[in-house]
Amino acid sequence: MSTHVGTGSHPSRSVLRDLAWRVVLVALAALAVVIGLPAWIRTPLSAAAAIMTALFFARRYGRRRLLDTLLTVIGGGVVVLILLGLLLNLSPQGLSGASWAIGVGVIEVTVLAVLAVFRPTAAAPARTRRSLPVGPAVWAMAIAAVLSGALVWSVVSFGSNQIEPLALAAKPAGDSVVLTVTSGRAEGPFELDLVTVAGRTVLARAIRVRPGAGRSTSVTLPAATRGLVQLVPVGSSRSVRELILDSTSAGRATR
Amino acid sequence: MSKVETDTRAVPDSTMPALPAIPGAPVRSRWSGRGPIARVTASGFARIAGISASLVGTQLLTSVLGLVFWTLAARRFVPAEVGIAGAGIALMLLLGSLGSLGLGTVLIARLPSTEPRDRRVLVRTCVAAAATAGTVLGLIVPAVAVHVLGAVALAPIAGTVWPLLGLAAGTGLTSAVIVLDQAVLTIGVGSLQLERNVTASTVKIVALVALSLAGAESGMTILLAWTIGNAVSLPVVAWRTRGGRALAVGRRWVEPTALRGLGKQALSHHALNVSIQAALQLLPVLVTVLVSTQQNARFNAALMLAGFVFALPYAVSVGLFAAARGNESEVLDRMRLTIPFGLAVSAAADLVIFPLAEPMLHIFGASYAAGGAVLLRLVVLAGLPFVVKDHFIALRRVQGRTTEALAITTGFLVVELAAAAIGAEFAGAVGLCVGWLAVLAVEGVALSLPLLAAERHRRGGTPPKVSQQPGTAAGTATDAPADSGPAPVEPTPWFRRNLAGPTLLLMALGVLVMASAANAGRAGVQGALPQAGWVAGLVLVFLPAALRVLAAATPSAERVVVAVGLGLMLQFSRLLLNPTIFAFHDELIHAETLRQIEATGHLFTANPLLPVSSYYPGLEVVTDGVQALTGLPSFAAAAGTLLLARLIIVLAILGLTALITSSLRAGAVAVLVYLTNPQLLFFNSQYSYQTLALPLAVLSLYFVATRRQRRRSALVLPLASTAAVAVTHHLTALLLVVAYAVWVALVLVRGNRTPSGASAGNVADRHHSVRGDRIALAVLTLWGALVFGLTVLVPGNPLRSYLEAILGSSTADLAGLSEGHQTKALFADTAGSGPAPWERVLLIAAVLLATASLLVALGFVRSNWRRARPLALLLGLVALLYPVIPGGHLTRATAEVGDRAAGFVFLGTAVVLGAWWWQRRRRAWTGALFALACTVLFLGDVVLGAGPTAGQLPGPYQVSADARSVDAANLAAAHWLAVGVPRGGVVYGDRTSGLLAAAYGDQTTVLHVSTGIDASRLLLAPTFTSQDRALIRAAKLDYLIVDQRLATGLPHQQFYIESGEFGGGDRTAPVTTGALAKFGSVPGVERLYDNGSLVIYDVRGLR
Repeated sequence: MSTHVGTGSHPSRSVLRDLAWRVVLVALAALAVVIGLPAWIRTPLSAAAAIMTALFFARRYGRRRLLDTLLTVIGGGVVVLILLGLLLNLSPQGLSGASWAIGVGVIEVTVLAVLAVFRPTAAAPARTRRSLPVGPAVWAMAIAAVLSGALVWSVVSFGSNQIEPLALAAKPAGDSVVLTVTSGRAEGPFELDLVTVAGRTVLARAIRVRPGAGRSTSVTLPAATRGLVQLVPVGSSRSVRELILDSTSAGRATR
Repeated sequence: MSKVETDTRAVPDSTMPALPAIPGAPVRSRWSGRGPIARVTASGFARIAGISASLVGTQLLTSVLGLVFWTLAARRFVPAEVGIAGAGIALMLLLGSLGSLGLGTVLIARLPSTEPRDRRVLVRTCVAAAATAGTVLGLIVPAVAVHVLGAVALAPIAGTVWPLLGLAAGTGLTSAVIVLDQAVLTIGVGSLQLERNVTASTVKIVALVALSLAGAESGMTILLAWTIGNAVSLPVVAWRTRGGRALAVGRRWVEPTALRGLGKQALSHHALNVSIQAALQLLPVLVTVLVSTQQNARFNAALMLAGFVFALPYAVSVGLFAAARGNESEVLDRMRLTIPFGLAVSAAADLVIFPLAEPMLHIFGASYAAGGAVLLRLVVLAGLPFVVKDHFIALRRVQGRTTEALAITTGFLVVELAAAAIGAEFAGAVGLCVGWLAVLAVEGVALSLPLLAAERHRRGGTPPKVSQQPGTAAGTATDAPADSGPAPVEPTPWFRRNLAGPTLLLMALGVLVMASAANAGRAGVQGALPQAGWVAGLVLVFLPAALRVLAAATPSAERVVVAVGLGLMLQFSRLLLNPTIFAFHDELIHAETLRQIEATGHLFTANPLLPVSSYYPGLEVVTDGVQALTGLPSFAAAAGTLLLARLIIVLAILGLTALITSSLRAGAVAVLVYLTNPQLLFFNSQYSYQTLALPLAVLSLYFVATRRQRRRSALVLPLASTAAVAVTHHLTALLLVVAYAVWVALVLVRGNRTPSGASAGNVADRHHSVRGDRIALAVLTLWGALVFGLTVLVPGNPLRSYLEAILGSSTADLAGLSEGHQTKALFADTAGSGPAPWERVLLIAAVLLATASLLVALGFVRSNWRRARPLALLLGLVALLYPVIPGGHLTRATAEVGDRAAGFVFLGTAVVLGAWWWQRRRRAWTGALFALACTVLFLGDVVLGAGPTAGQLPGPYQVSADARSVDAANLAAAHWLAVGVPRGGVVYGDRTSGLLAAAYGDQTTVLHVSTGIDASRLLLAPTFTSQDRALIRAAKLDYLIVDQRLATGLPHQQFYIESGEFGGGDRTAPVTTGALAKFGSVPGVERLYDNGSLVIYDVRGLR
């Protein structure tokens, strides 16, 4: 951390050094976004670039209280994002990863450069060796662990309760219709029947479904026919799911 | 023999203060160090070893007898019954320990100074009090666990009257012997404690064998044998202490007055003892309840064997404390040997037990060996962190910082149990052990840090760092070693220390409790348990924060951190309800705007769900930016954006109040009050434009108030933030402009008034400042109006019609109300469900409390009018608008207006109450009372803003009930639309299905608000007619989504689809199944999807 006081138009070497590595960090973050690196790389890089810019701001603009600096940095950051988004909307590319990365990068570099050149560093107190805040860090870790545990528990509970029900669906494919049975839990065996005025036809037998593995069957409905497709548990006469197919439907023509 | 003896860690710690020091042993603060033996001797390790050996000897004898008892039990009873008995005895010991009330510790301290003639009555009174407390606990807790909390696994020991009475009697007896065992240490009758324990253990074994031979087979038999042993051992004590009878004078058998003044003395040590023992005593209960009684039999056996491993390091730490005689320096000196010794013993035991676990468990039987070996290997690992924990407690005891130790051990206890419960949920008893061990490992590392810090300070010759007490010199040590020179300084009271860490951890645990309640609701747990858990979690989050923020002794930094932390935790708690998806009505609307921005890369596209929302895309822009820069999924980016918004509003309120009152403390109180507003927990924390606009509006006020006058850049931030508000939410922008206008008016009216006593220089400065304010506020008013006007002028912005519709319906309802036509029941929604009686009480109490704050607001306005402080005056006037909030609930249309107003009105209320509270003379009890009032206000306002607790929690599907209507069935239908039909199709459905089809199904949903077409008869009219065909043509409808469950009840939120729907208004019966099924028989219509609850029709054939 530099303690040199800038002179306005002639930033000291240490200030320039501070500026340079921050600019490199901002550029790296922007590059990571532009080339579409995964979230686990982009998130820390983007966060680090934003935080380092904020810290530079706080140090060189920081003669106010901590609360004021925090509000300026966090609130100002959100305001800047909104206004930048409006600006990007006017560009042909609109709001995309690349445009965001370039826009935010340019703003961060501008802020860094302006602060380095035009703002003197706030008079820093004599440097003192500060021990690592072990106590607060331990508490913070414990709090984060408990909150993370609560969140993970909720996610697991939510996932285990969001079980997709047994469903029967039809999707036209040319002259035929693909019938699909899906379910979030293992179910079966079922029989798939087509009921028309001509009688009942078995389309598929012993259908068993597992989570993520539906069962599909293709059927071609005779012309000018309206029929029921029924999913019936083996050994039962009562259908549990039922579709209506109508080859006369005007909707077919538009598919 | 009691479990106290078999589980060697569970010896009550309260014996520690009375352990005799070995006479003549040298007390040295430094060891001179000439070889290992000399070092060991010089360090006082010999004394520790003597005391430890004495303890371990007693433990060993009774533990061996305990092992015999459980081995016999395991071989004569089936594992399920042994498991039941294990759980029962563990519960009995825990409750017995709680019931002892710490009176044993008191006796240790009091008996030596009590007249011999009074000793017996004092002991009898304490024993009787403990027995009574234990019996009451033994009756209530198991009964509540079985009958209220649904712990059916405990039914065999507490489900019916006789077992319950037996358990209660056994618990009372346990409390009594715990107190007695500690008392006899001081009476000094030889080895009476050992004699009593050996007698009890032997009788238990005999009783067990006798009962078993008599044909008893149930787990209650084991419990009975245990109780008999304790009961028979009591006459032994009476006989061995009979000599004291001669000294007793004719007084009553017990003397309740003898207990007077003992409470505080006992509480601290007792609570610490309980917090240490509780985990080992509760784990068997958890295994029984969450896994099975069979598994608990094995777990109990493993725990018992592991107890031998835990015993020696534990005894060493006890010896360490006793031998130190209260000298911290001695403790630290000796820890350098006892900690490595304890760790080495534990590690060696681990090495031995790992390969031998199975043969060791064979003494209980083959099934124990097969199923319990893994458990034993895991449990025994706990010995390592226990060494650190025991030494930490010994250090804190000798430092006199038992309250701090209690807070830490209690916090970790809750986390240990929670982790164990989560582990049990996923992987049975093994999972429970892993979860418990994981937390213990963290605990071991965390607790080793204070030990290292203390050692470092000792070596450096400086006392440990403590918080500074007001009025004392900086760096005053509260824990200075006794031999360090000057007389010890009075320690800083615990409540004056910075307790931000423990307080926030406690609040985080509250969030964990809320998560468990939400999960229980989601899993369909019936009864009051999930609701009770949810409210308990809320209290656990809010009350500790309120107490610390309002306590006069709390350090300022902690107050701020806790207030900000409270705001963030309440926002975080929202994720517990729907942790991976948007589920609330407004969230789905804005998720649709976000999806469109992602898809097109452009703003201001048409949002069919609420057209006006896409013209105010500030929230979605920030989310899109966060998402683009981080690569996180939309939902995670949205959650992060909302946390930022919450951080901004709490910091801005803090700053604004601090600016007005010149006190950050008042600011923290203001934040606390603001967080009680009815919309905070649900509406103003959801993914909706107001959630971001409101913080930005408060930020704008802050930027204006703190701008640096006489600088060219002074208005840059206010102008930018005002513009951001204008493109984020229409109504907030409008209100911000109005606020600027009122502010400038107040400056014009009162600004030039000079406070009496001001100097000439001050007057000149003030006039200059007022002139600057006038110009700045006028510029901002014009700027706000201009930007807002520009957003309204964007082609297609339907804001005017949107606001007119709200205004029209509100006016109509108010006019109706004035004519005596009530459109809304006070305590019920449109489906007829409403808050429970206790919730009504909370709600009314909250409204009364907030109404009372109007008096404060009036005083605040009057005072600031006189002092000519325009900003304070403005916020005071805002606070006076509070009646709008409860008043709005009188009619259906204005209820929403009233609710939405809460986020704005409470800004004023917060500043007013923050300033008021800080001007009052504060005492501890008034702080606690105000904290309690704030908690009641918070809980009542949650009911006012979000409805009954049952509806706030996740649970089974409800008709048109916002997030409670989103479930796996309609989500599956929406996801099928995304892949089963072409993107961008025109669909129609009920309120929830329509939203989901747009947000998750990539379809365009027809709504009256966006198309002007009311197609509700398609779903709600009883028969199919030509009008339906005409509607389908007019709307160019492709698909119709029918949720057949609509026929199961009336809508909870006024309508099935949208305002003005077919048959709406005074609907008294649900839509019929015939109406929902009518399209099944219409020629040309195909049914393409059926999941049992929802069906999707292709209606293009009717166009």
